[in-house]
Amino acid sequence: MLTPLLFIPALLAAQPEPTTGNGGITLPEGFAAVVVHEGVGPARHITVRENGDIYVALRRAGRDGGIVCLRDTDDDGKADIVERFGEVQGTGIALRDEWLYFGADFKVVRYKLPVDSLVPTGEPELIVDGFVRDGQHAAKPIDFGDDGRLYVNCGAPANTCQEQMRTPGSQGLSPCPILEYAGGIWSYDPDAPNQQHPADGVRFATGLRNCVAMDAHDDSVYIVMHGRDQLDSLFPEFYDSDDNADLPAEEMHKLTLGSDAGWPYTYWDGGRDERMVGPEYGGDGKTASTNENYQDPIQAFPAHWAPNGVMIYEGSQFPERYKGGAFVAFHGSWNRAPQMQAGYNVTFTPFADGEPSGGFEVFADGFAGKEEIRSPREAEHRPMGLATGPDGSLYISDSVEGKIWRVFYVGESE
Amino acid sequence: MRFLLCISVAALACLTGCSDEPEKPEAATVLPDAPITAEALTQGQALYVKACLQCHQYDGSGVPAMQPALIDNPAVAGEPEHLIEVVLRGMGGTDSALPPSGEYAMTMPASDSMTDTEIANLLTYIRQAYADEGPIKPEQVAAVRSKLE
Ligand code: HEC
Repeated sequence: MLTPLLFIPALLAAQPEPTTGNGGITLPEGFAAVVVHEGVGPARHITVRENGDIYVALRRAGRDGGIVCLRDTDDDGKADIVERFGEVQGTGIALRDEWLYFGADFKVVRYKLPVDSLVPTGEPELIVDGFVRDGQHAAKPIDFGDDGRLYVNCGAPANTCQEQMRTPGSQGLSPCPILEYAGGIWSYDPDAPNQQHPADGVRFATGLRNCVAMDAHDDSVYIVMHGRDQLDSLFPEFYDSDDNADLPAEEMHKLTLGSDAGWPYTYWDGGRDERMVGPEYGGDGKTASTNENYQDPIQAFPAHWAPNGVMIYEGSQFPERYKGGAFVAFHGSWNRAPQMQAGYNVTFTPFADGEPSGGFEVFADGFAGKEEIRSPREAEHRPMGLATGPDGSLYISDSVEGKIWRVFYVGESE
Repeated sequence: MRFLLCISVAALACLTGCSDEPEKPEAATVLPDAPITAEALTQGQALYVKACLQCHQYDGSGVPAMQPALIDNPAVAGEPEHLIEVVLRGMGGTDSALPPSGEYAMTMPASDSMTDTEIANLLTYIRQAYADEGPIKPEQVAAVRSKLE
């Protein structure tokens, strides 16, 4: 407050004209948005090339492909050329040199993408295969680490590791066999074809239920994990529906080689701010875990919000406090009944030295199109993927229709 | 439309005695050729809330890409044998389950610990609320169960 700030007008030259009402979303003062596309189809993750071309993974491949490419030819922020390719659907999408990598649900492939060519040439090259063929948590988010390795999230095909899947009272397996091949993040050589999971990879971190939100940054991999479901319906003797709706936090972790976040043996209770023993492993809602191997989250978000994208902001366009901080896209809950569903927004957490320096705040909201959501299908849009453009704009994809927003700063420069 | 029907079913059930305690399984019966009773629907709805609502949602609308809607679902409106088998075996995830459709990022758990009457009433409820179809009888559940054993 007392620091004298020198205000100079922002450099608006390269900024597009915002869409009326920011295309239906609310943003903090000083930010505006242009709708890049009204709907490319059920979008998953998004990435933006150095030349501004946009690539979006789709949940359903459809007739024309599982990847959408968008190009703005007249700098108004809106896509003028829209192309599609790729035979399968997926979630992960990432660029490296002249390659576009795609995390299809059961494999990772890459396509040759020559400079300035919007659509890849040639056939996909198989990079990693052999992931468990189970539809649960099959999404394969991908990213490249500073070490040049390809990081792949392998979600656990389960809620917890019960003897009988999602069955009331069923106890947990110990050790949980799933952790051998899923429930963690593996790294692979991005240039070696036909690698087999998990044999040819390195298990980087474990004890992770499902991390659709993943961003490799500096020497770490930042994730926001989907916490467990169904506390009350599986263990009604210990939990009621409010406990289920409120307790099991969505955990943000800074992972390094060997990190263990405690799934399926524990969950993080956001109210007590403590790691608890899961009811499948003798927990009763009151017993904290004493296992020192499980790391604490660097931030705990409300239960069931469904973090599907996280991005450490590396751009230069946004004001100083956003630099190095974390944006998280919350897809919105389905497992909070009889309470209202929640999430359906994009949050921001300021960081200092690679860790949160404060609580999170809602950055972008209004995606759902209405205040109260009882069931996810009522939401008009659901935030999914996040990406930074070459100019530092923030791109947000929506999973319902595939609407894409580009958010930029129009306020005073500091 | 269906959601309104769902409310009216609940209202109908409430007219005949709405209490916090769900009916005891033995108390609810569906006679072989009798019309659907309010008791059966009350119990069916209570079981839906307990065992199915979290995934298929309060209005049967499901969750895109995760759990199918029960509204306009051919499995709900169609052959009772298949519907019963879905509940008894579940879909995907384990060898004993029906094969998954591959459309959803979730599997459907088996609910074979419910009694024949409970499953009949549950399915009668969802058929009435989401498909406008007739009841399912405990004997039909028993027949599918014995075929699976
Ligand atoms: C843990 C979440 C979950 C719960 C709880 C659940 N379901 Fe499902 N259900 C699913 C999923 C996922 C599918 C789709 C499976 C597939 O297509 O592979 C499904 C499919 C179905 C279908 C369609 C079957 C078909 O042939 O297409 C019916 C009917 C159904 N469920 C009824 C129920 C009923 C009744 C209950 C309560 C006893 C219930 N479900 C509980 C997740 C769930």
